[in-house]
Amino acid sequence: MITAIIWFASFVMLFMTTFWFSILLFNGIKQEKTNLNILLNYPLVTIAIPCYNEEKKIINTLNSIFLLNYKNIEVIVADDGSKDNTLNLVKNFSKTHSLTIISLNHKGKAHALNKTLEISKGEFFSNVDADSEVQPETLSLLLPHFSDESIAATVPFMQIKNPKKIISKIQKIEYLIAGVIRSLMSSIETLHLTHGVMTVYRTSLLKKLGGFDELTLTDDFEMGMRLIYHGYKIKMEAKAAVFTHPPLTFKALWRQRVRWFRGYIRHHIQYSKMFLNQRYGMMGKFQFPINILYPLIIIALTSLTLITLFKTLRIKLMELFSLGFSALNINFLGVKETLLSLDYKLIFPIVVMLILGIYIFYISHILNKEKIKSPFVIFIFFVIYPYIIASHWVSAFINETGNLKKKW
Amino acid sequence: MVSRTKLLIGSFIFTLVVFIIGLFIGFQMDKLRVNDLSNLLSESDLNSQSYLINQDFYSVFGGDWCKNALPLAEKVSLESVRVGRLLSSYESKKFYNEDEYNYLKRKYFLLELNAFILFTKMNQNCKTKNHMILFFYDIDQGSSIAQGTNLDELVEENKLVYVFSFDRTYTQEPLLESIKTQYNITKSPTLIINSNKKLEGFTTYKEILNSLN
Repeated sequence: MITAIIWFASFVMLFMTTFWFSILLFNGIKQEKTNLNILLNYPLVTIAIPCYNEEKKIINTLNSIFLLNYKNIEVIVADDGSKDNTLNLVKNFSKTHSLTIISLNHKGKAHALNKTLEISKGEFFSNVDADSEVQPETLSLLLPHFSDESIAATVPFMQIKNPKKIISKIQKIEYLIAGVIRSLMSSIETLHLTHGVMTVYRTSLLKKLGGFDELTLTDDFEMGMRLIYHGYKIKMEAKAAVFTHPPLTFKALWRQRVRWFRGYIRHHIQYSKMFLNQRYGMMGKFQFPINILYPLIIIALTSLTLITLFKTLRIKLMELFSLGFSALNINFLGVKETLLSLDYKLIFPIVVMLILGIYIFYISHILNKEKIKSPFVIFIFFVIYPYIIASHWVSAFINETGNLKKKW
Repeated sequence: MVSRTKLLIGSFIFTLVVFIIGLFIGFQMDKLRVNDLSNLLSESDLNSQSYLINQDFYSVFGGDWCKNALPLAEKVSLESVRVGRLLSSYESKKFYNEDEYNYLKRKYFLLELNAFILFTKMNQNCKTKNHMILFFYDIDQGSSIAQGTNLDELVEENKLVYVFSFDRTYTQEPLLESIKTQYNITKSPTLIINSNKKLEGFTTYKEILNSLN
């Protein structure tokens, strides 16, 4: 039974990795032929910045927005009832910069975005979290994709800038790999998520679809799924970089990920009609089933390896308890016997998958002109981090099953 | 630009091929494992035969058999310990050779029983005081594995201790079945010390030593 689970999980993982690898190899990260005419029309873009207690980062975010080389923007800061000095800082900033401020009672980010959407005049609407930074060329790289009428939203490549702590260095690797995978999803039209750092939407479409869901845990993920569900496409522009500040403690990371994963579960159930639905093309046939299998496989594989690890540890402890440290010197098998003892039918596919995975890891660094450094962080990312992620998934499943109250 | 469907099918075929190669290597390795075990068992068989022929030789032509018996018996015992370790390690990775493994296991247990009889006879005829431990284990059971390590250490550290291992769940050898019934072996690990003391569950090195004395 255990062998069958590992086998099935390895098959799915290898299939997924091979598919991404083959797209990368044969098609590359496809750069869409964008029509720059849309820039000649110089459409107005509303940039909404919902904020709640962001006094430390809001000015940095605003500065980066006013440094955008695309100047036809309308900036609206929606203060969601901050209890710190955020509102005063923004008011001072508005003395020298053109921006609109709306002050709200604390009702959540989606509510703040909807209030901004109500008063927005832009043809396009972009949301920027108050703890992030955009690059000067980001917007002008994202807008040309809208020359294709079926594109509902464009997302930039979200990254982490100069991480200092191990936890942010791990997340930097994660964001780099996720960025490459999302670019590949974008090239096969299965990208189904938008994020909170300068995703650009068609304003009319957002209004037509009823704005952001105020009851969800992950408004941007829900919006992405909803756009795909209604037959629209989301594009990712890999050259457009934006930066976010990751959680700096494991507790904060836990809360963020459990919230994300709960949203992931909830919205896959909500939009389950896409599952194996021919109408949704690759999204229905490939991406949706893979999305369902992915967390289950992560949980299954990490649980099985943990069980094996604990079993081995128990044996070693029993041996140590009985024999003392001489138990460590007992060498059972020689090289030939050890080689013969390996389970090749399981090991071989896993080794192939690792090689392809390492290639994708390498490419994700090359494409972003990042150096591969800190072997210790890479070790933690590949060996320890999957268990942390699996624990987030387990918690998300438990919370969702128990329909527990959302936590931000 | 290759079409997505082609890439999807290509990836599926590639994955399938990798798994088939993995299975093929698994098959080949299983053959090598079975060959390795067969060779070792043949060697153990030769050692047992050598012991018996030596015994016959001394009884026909005279001489101090007891003086020569111990080194020969030790050889039989050491070889079977090695075969036992490999058999459990290989068996947990076995792929398709169910019948082959059953055959090898039966052969191994018969050799172990044979060695047990040889040592018992030696104790009776030569007035030696070899300690004999029958060890009943379950494959892949943590406490059985840890017990095995303890017994290996015990054999290594104590010259006159000999261990004979048997898979408790193996039912195809009638003699082994009757020994299990005789000692009422119901769980693993179980140790039968010098045919008269029964220790159930994981037993520490010290506890075994105390039972021997």
